Amino acid sequence: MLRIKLKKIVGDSMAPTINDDDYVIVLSTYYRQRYRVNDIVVCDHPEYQHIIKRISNIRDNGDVSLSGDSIKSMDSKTIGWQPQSRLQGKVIIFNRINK
Amino acid sequence: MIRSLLSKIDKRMGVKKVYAHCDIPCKIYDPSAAQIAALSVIRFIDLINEINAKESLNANDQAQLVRLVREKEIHAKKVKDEITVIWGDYFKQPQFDQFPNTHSLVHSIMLTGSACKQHIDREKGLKLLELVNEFSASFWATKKVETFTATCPYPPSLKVVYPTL
Repeated sequence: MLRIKLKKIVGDSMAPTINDDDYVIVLSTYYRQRYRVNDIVVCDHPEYQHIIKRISNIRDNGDVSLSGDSIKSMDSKTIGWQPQSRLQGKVIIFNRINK
Repeated sequence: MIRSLLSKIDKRMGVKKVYAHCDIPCKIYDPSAAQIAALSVIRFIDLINEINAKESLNANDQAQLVRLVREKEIHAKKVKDEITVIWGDYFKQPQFDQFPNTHSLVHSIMLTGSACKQHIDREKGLKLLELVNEFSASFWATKKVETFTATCPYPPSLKVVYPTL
């Protein structure tokens, strides 16, 4: 079953793709969701809490590396490899709803 | 139009926020700038009080006094700004769990910093340094860096918490 949630962005680390104050639609599933490199995802990070980043790499064990689109973003090394269990869903709509 | 509708939904029901964190430069936090600024505040207070002790002030003294007051103001604000950045950008929940008095400590630093701007009371300057040293010790402890206390090698020659690197 699918879950769709509306979220509001705070911060500029995904600029210019997604900007501060933008809204995004996040899709998640109750079963194991399939993620790919370049997906924009919401992650429940143990230190930085509810963050939005792009998947830049996926390890063999499924862990993902996250980074922002902006050069101002925290780098992926700072964020650290995250298990997919911490991912809260994939951003499916962002640009059309913020015009 | 869609955005306008979403804004209304947000205002009415509250939309959960997600954070797109930025750090420039990444991970460079150091309370030493706040400590040096606090030492400077005490030094300026001492110099102001030296002038204040004179029976009469000539034009040079008055010019010097104006400059010292101005620099005291600037450096007290610098203490507040430096601490605010570390507290707001570096400290997250794990660090607050480790040092649950951090919010209260930062608030005390803000209040004491303001008091140093308003007065030329050395005790207030000493209190500011004490609080900033406490904050510094907490900060380094969250990074698992040991600290030691030593007298700074310049006036006002007071105890400062330094990281053991």
